[in-house]
Amino acid sequence: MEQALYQAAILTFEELGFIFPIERPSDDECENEESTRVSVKFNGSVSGEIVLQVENTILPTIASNMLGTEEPLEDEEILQDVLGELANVICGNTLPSIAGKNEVFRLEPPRKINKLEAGEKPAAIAHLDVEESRADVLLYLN
Amino acid sequence: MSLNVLIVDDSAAMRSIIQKTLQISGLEIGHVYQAKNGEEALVMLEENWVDLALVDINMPVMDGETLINRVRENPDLAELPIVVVSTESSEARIVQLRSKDVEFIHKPFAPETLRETVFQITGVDNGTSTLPSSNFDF
Repeated sequence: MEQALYQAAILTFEELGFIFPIERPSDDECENEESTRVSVKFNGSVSGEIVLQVENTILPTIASNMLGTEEPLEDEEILQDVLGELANVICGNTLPSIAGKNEVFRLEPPRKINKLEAGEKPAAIAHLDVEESRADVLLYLN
Repeated sequence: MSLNVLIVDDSAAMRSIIQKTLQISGLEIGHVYQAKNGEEALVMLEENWVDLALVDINMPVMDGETLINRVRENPDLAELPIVVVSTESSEARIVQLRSKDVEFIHKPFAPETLRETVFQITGVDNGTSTLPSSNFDF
């Protein structure tokens, strides 16, 4: 499951964000005040959510890469939209690997979250280094 | 001949990415219309001449599948070439969507995949375009 999450996350950052993350050694500390987070909930044969958090140091660069602008983008609405689309694509690419290629899922629109739910343990985490900044993808199953 | 294109996606970022990919594709692109759901798209299709629609599936208000059904049922729009651009991965769902006479591109997509699919569905290919394989160069 964790490998599926890594593969989907790396593929999405590469093809959509034109940035090349590498796996970061896993640690238990995912909470990071200087990150922006979105959640995408999914329902189907398995239900849950994927949370993507990206450090604010790299998010404007990813947004700029995706939208083809010269300068890093700082507009919060754009950054949320970009992060939401990344999370949506990671989610869509992870689910077939964990539930099978014929399962149909309903994905809810990405929504901003301010912090990770304390006490909830993810089923899998992908820790990524993105040009010296951190990104984490957390998969929660109901 | 330049193509008027309608991009339907609830993400402004994704609409922008698709538009910029089209603009560097080598296709002659005319007017690009953008809609954030199927309902907006139907209004634009009724008011404007569109040669090609690129449609997400999972959208609020009116989803992409409903939009495709409405287009196919409308005699004035039924022949519109449609490319679905979606995270949908279920093979059964993709087969079902293709039965509505649409092409399918899975997100994330490489720019050349979008270009080749558009060439294929529109039948337009000037044969001179080159796209960077791993990055945009706007």
